Amino acid sequence: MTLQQGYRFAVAARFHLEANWAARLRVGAGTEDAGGCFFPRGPWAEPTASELELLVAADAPALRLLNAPPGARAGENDPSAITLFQLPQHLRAAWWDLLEASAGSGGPLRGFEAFAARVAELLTFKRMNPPAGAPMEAVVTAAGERSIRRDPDTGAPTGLGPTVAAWAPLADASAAPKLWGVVNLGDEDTSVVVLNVPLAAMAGAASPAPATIGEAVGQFLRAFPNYPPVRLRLGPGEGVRVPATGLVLDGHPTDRADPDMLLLISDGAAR
Amino acid sequence: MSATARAPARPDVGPLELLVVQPTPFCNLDCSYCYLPDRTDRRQMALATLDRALRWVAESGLVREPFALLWHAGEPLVVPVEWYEGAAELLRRHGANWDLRQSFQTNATLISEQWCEFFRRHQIDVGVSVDGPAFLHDRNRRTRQGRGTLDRVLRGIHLLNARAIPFKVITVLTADSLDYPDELFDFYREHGIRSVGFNPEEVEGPNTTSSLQQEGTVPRFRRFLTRFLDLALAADPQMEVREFDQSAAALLHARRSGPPRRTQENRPFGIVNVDCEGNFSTFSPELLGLNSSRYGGFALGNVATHSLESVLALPRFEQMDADVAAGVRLCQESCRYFPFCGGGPPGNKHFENGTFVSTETLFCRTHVKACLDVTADRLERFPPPAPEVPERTAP
Repeated sequence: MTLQQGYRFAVAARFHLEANWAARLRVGAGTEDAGGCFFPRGPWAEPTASELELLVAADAPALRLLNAPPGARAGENDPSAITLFQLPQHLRAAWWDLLEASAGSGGPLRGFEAFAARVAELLTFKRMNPPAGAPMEAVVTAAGERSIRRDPDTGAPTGLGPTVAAWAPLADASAAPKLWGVVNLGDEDTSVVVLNVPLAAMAGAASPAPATIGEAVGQFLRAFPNYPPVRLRLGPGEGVRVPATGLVLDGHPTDRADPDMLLLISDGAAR
Repeated sequence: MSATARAPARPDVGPLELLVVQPTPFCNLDCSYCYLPDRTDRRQMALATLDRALRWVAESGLVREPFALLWHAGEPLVVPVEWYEGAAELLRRHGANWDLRQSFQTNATLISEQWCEFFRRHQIDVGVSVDGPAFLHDRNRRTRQGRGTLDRVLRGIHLLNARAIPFKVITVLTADSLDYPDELFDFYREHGIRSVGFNPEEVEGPNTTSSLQQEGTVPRFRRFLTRFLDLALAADPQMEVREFDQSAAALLHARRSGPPRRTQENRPFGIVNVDCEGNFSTFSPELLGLNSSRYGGFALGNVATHSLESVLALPRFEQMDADVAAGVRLCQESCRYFPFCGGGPPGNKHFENGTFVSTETLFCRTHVKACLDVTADRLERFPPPAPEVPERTAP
């Protein structure tokens, strides 16, 4: 199955960063079912021109030439786009100061809440509309792991999953807790993998009709194992806001040399 | 004070606070929002002209307080250091008793070891114009060939830092800049910039429009300044922000002493502007070299031929002065910010409203009102610590 029209990538309004989508995006071959857990499968290739057209918003600010000035009037963010942004250097430095201060203590990161509040202030200033009091957590994953998601009981990697709570009934998914966005807190590049198919479209393609978000995702991935996942490279401090209507996502620490550090920003408390 | 100083001709004239001298109208850059009409003109002030200008100042009776001498209105570093060595000698001769600070407002592209040595030896205050990261700076601050200039500006800034020459930065804020306070803050920190001032892009002279005239700009300006102050004042070390310092001082001054006297720009001969030929004007520096249908040229005379007394008697000066004063009265009657501001700059009134006899301008809405509001709000949220009262000891 080839890539279909779905969510597209765009640089968030009021952020100035190099998109260079052809270098940043890679398209995989499909997904692999490992006992009910789904992992993206390579080989990973640079997107073709037609794939890029499907994946990148035509009017996205990021389509400006590199280092071209911002437009006379910054556009607003498309809520249905996967939106790229970046923490400024002073916030990245604050994160490393926090880590240094807590090194060796073994306990929770002291000052993390204040750091999270500063991230929220930035996102609010940039009119990214982060949820009020958005819960944030830093997730550290060992280098070479296949997934940043873990089974809470076994600790095993669980692979690709929905950004909206898997248990949420399809009929009432909008009120369910969801992932708002992900930020690379590390000092080297990392990646996230997504399927650009909206959860509602996955549910529509599934048969028999699923009851929950998790069922819809499972049925889709089993039915279409060759649907190409898309890998997005995130530089230090870069992040993505995911559409509130949800998609399938995972971190991709597989190729890293150092542990992967992601800031997960949620909308609503996880169950 | 110089031995040749005389009593002021009129008590409401002066004292001189700022002497702006244009060693050349030429600028090696061609910024899109520049207000200088003759920036391709390579004339240079003769030292004999400067000699006459300084004598004129000394004889005017305007020097009654400390004042600043600003080399500006063209890129001052286009003129060789040797010229300023000659100027320093003239200043020693004419202003031996002046309490004077010299400053250069420069685009920094020509700063060299020789300039650093000159700045240090003469204790010059250096102001650098830079608009932030390349995607903001290079959009407007370009060469005549249309190339960005940030690399060259940063070479100058790094030289100042390496030679420990203190400097301040002025950044022109366009509508685009208002979305990037964090990026500007990071830029300043990365390049060792500790003191910044923000000039809103103004409608002045040949720059007949401003990106800030777009609808909705003023709330964006307030948000920008609020965010920037949060970052700058929480930084370690704290970053100096001119707009905060000036607004806080104005708020405190008004509380203690009532409304200010007519400001530097709208008090006759509070500022004296001298161009490279010795022509001089007063009020806003941006007026020098421009013409008006109401007054003719804004230049009032030449230091070689016109004394202060002769200029004060000119009907067109009297008209200008009366109009500026009428504009200040209108501000006083209609604007609740007047006690903190003292009246809007006549240059902005002329360029935006077509007359000195007017009130609010874009500059008022952004640089005065928004800055005062944001500063007052911040002082409420973070009151300055009360001065320590020494503990009384028993007699």
